[in-house]
Amino acid sequence: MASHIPKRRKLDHASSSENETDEESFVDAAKQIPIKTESMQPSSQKHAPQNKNREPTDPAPAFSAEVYKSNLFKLQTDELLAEVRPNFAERLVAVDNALRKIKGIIEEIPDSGPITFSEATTKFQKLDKIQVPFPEPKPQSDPNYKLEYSRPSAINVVGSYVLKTMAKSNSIFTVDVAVVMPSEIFQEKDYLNYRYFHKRAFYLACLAKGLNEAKDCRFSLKFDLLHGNLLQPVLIVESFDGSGDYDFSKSNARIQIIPTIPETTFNKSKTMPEKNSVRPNRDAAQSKASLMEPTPYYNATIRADCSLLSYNKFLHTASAFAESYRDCCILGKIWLRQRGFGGGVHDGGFGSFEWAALSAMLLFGGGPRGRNVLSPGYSSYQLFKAVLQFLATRDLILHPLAFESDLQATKSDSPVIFDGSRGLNILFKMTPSSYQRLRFESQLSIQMLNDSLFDHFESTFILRSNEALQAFDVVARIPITCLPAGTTNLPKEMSSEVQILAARIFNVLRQGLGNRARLVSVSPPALAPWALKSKKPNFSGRLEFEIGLLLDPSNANRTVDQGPPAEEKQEAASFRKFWGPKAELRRFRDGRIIETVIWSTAETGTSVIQQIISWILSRHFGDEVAAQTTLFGDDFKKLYTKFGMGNLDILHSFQSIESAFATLERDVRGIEDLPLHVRQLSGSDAQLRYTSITLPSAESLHLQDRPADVVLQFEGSGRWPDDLVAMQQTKIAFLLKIGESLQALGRGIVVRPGLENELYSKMNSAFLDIFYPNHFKFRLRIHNDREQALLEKQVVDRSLDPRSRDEAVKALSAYKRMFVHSPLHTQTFKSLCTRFPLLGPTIRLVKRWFDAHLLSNHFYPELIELIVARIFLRSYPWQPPSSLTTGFLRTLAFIARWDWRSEPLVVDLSTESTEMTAQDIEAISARFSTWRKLDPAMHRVALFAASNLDLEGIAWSESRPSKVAATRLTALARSACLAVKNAGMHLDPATVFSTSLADYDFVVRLNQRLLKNFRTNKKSSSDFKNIRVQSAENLDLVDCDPVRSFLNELEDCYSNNIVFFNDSNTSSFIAGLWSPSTAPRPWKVGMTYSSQPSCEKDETQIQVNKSGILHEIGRLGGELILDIEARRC
Amino acid sequence: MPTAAHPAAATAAKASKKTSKSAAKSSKASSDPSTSSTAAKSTNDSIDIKNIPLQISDYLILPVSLPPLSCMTKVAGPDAVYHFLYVRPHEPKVPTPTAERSLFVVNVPIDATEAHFRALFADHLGGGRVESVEFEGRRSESKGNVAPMVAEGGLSVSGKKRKRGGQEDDAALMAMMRDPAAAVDLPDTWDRQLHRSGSSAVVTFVDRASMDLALKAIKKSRKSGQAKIVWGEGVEGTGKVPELGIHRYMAHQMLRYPDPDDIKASVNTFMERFSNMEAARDRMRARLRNQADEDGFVTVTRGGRAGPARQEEALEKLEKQKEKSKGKEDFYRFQLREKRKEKAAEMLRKFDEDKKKIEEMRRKRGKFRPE
Repeated sequence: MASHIPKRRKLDHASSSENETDEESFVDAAKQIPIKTESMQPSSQKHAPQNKNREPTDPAPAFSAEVYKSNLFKLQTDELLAEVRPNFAERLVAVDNALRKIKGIIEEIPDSGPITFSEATTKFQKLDKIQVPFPEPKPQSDPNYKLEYSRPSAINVVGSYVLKTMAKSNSIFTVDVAVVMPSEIFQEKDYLNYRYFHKRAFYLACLAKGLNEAKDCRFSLKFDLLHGNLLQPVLIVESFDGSGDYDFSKSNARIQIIPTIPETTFNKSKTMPEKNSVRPNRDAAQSKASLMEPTPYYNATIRADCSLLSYNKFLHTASAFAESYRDCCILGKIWLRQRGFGGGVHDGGFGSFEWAALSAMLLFGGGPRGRNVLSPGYSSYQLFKAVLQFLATRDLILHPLAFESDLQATKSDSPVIFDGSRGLNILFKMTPSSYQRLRFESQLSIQMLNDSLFDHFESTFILRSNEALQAFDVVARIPITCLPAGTTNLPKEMSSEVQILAARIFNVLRQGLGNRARLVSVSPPALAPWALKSKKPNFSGRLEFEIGLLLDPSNANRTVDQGPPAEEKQEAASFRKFWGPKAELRRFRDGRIIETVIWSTAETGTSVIQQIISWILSRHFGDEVAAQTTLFGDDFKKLYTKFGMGNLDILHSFQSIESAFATLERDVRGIEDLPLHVRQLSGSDAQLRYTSITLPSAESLHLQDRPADVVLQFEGSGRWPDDLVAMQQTKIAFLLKIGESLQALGRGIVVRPGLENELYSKMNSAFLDIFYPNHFKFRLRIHNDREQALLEKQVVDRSLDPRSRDEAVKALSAYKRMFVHSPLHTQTFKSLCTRFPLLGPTIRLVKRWFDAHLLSNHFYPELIELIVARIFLRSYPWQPPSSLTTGFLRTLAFIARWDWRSEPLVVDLSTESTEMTAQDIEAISARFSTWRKLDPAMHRVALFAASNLDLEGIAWSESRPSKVAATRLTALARSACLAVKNAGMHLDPATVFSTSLADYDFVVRLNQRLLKNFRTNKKSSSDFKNIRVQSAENLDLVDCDPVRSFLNELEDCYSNNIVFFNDSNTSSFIAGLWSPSTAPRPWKVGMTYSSQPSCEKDETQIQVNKSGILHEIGRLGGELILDIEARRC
Repeated sequence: MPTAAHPAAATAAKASKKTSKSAAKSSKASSDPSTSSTAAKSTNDSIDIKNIPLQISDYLILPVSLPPLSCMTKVAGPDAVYHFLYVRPHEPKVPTPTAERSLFVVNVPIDATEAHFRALFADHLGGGRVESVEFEGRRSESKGNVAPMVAEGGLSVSGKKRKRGGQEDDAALMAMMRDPAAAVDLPDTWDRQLHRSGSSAVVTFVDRASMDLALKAIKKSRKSGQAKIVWGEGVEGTGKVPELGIHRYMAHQMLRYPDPDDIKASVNTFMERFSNMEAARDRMRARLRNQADEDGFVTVTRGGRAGPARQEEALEKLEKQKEKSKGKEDFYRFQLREKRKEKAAEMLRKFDEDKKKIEEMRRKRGKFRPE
């Protein structure tokens, strides 16, 4: 049975494509195909019952992973569809009315009779003030054919409006109306030499005239190009307030009138892609054969006009055939739109029509031996995913899809989906560049939908992923005015120089950048609709090509490009031709002599990428183009360097502290007379995982530099005391012992034991600072895992008083953070930073941003790191950032979007991608909702950030940040994103880092001079480097930060009533906000803030004594403070 | 009570306006806000002391003016800034011997010290002599609060210091058993303690008469409205208390890193005491093990011959035992059936949860609208 199916199908297709009387036969074919596929393919029947189950009202959780990704995904998709589907009945009634009216008007337009070209032009120009939108090249003054208008043979509404596959969006709907021009006004040979298009333009002008003159309704009319195709002008009908009865301005729609022709007007075989329809000029006396190059674009445009109605029927058939087809079209439309794809030449040439046609084709065929790829029983999600899968896996350039046709692949560099029955390559508007991007995006989306851990609904449909600065590492604009005419010798038939140039730019860039760029996207400029009376605009205005590059960070900064060896003459010549004088012959160490291009290193200020782009642009498009090209890509990197954060190669920048740490570990392990063996010495500091804002430097000691935290764990022993306080004391004894031993090594190591947590005897109470003579400093603490058990016991011990239980809770979470989470976190981020070279720099820049906006005292640095890691590890809808710019801006965008009130942050940090399970995720979200239930006011936990290292989700967000700070973070990120979006390529990154003090209630300005003086005291410390003696006096001052201590004390004293903000990096301000809890209230004894009595309405109340408190702050700060300013009282 | 106090205060204010001194003062106060814009901002805060009632609830209100600070000019202009203390006789729930000669002060400034209160009462409010001040909060309970002498070497009179060196008696050991933290004796890292904003203190006078004197003086000064009491006058900057500001933080920097030998000594003392305590505890337990109470029962205590050394270990063992006794899963058919049922229920539950989630998301609009 199976063997003869394909045969019969093939026969069918052959017969239908042979049949030239199209409309009826197509309907027949469309009717036949579904019947046959159902009867012949058992697989589709098998799917059908499943489909029945999938009613939205059915509560049974029958949607397994095959039909939908997950229940949640299915429900979300349903919601999405409901949300975007416009209310046809309500909102579009007005459009319907208008459509009917327009149809009436058009039918009333009188026939013009044959008219010559010049007559037509002058008549329209003089009498009607309408410029006939003739496409280029305009006909000569007296062509030997006449133009004519006669009543259309049909007027039909087509496209997504009738298919009911429209989707709401921010832009307006377009309702397509096909006006079928009668065949009689065309001659058989009109398909040649633009004759058809000239007649069509005239016809359109007549339609415009008719609508313009209509008495009882007023619309605003404009010409536009269908899909930006210069050959296909169309008429746009919009309505405005006061359009009278037919006002449809409220429906947010516009009507697009497209002149079409019956499918049989021109011989299909004459307009196949491989045929030539633009005959060369007779004057050019060249041999005919060489000039009859195929004109696929021109031909396809004619075929597109012929087949508009036919496609409409085809899509209708498909929607009747497969229940979910419509939804699939909507999903596809949204997916494309979010990625910036559209039917227009300028936005890729793959829009909702192409999606709908492709899915319809795949429903009816497209598979091996003509079998269908999609089953009609698929759910909308399955259809959607299968179409994506098809786009992702099949290379349509190498293996074109021929539907109902036996077209053999012609070698070309553009993708082909050839529809045999309509003779059209539906991808004819795509460029190699846009096709590369389409495949790239669909592959990415397929990866993302195959992710078993997270469902990525948002990344698939909700997020807009084509914001240039977020999507691309390098964005460039090449102004089109500078491109000298005739830089190309490509076939003219494409009729759009813009497109040719786009292709050329793409090829040059792709060749020039090689494997430095993963993706090169070139978007040609688009033309805006123009008024009837004005001439068709051309691209003489300042329109620009937009270039987007995705870099491969491992190759992007390579300075040597090797070409072919000198012996391969031909290749070498073309290499030299491409690079010009930049190419040089070099002999390499291994003896090869190779054509080479050398770029200077990035230190000169411009990155290698930038050098390449400007070089090849000036070589291939002229110096002027190169000079006027604007580029955005390195700007954040420059800022990064300006902040003194070193270069992007963090592994190199942090190498010295790494080796110092190794020395420390050796030294500690080498201590012989310790009663216990060292099990592990682990780093637990940002400096030891490449993420600290300031580089640990070996040059000099900065007094505010903190020693890097390290945690020492001994082998287990039963001899530790069974009491927390005693254990802390024992740890001190160990630290002292270690210090003595290290100092006894006699290598200039200086140690300094210090005290901390003086008020909490259960917490770690001492540490040991270790100074190496090379200026690296570490802060050692001892980890004993018995502490956890003892603390946990105390937390639940009912016999203890509440206060000491509270203290135990606090101590437990501090213990976990310091001794459990931090070392693990450090370990993990160290390896992540090696895996993603840009993770470290991005984290550091984001931390700098937090600091610039006075937020750093509210967030654990680890939390910031987790957020940035999320951008890299769950990067969808993009690939992991491959530049600092994308990393940073995506982080900001994520923060701006993150609805932390109702969403946990979940990051799977594991290097093996399978460490976290769906159960873990579930447990995390359960825990999250428990927290929200327990603490709805978010006093203890505002942000919730879980990872595979911390399933509890609060290690780095417990009680810090407060809700106020988290809200402020979101607001700041939002406004930053808005600023970035508005500035576009003209963004000055420094503006993102400048903060405003306007929102704070008061600002304490710190005495910069004093602090600076205080800091420059360390001059002496650089002196002693020379004499190699570390004097204890100088070391005493290391890690001395009066501002931090001051801030900590303020936070302790006014904990619940003032929120303080400070930038720890420059320490120029402390800003504060009064908490709403300080509102006036009746008298009570246990107030938590300084108050003053106030009498209002004969009743004495108390209110916060703001000036009194500010005075207290002033007294406490003393000389540290320059002045205090109360902004809002 | 406040309603009664209010008119009185108002009349007092009216009356005092007639005197030339205060008239000049008040005119100055009223003209200032209009001239300087920064001061205008703070009009909410700047308060005419005359309008402040004498009492709130049963607390006397004592405004103390704060010394001018250069950094405060933008906030308050040349106006005086006040801090308000609320004072009443100390009446603790559990009577203490010193209660009747103590005042309870609410809303203590964060930087108050005993010296401040001594000066306040001695110089401004009748000259009553303060014996001691006990500030609210743990810090003041366990550690001395007048710090400069503490640093010198334990001359102060806090409880735990007295224990040092002396032969520890059983009571001390018992106290340590309850809370070993009290025995920790690491050096202080701050030279002057701060207080939480709005906290309270108990000021104990040498005798009842001094206290009464102080109370009367407060009332008098409020009624006359003449003498301006300045906080910290004759205390700050005279060496009586450690300085604030950068000096405080520098001092902290030094105190944070005490001499290793000092630390060592303190740790050694603690450890010695701790082992004494442990020995004593073991002795006590051993005693308890052999002692029957009056009903003839012997209390079971830890540390016998056979029991595991640590409680957690015992618990762990117990857990393991339980695990073992559980038996195998998926052995009987009913277990499988139960499992299947559970799974189905679980799926239903999850589905409901998802639906709820969606509902939630729908309520927050925009989740399903493509950007």
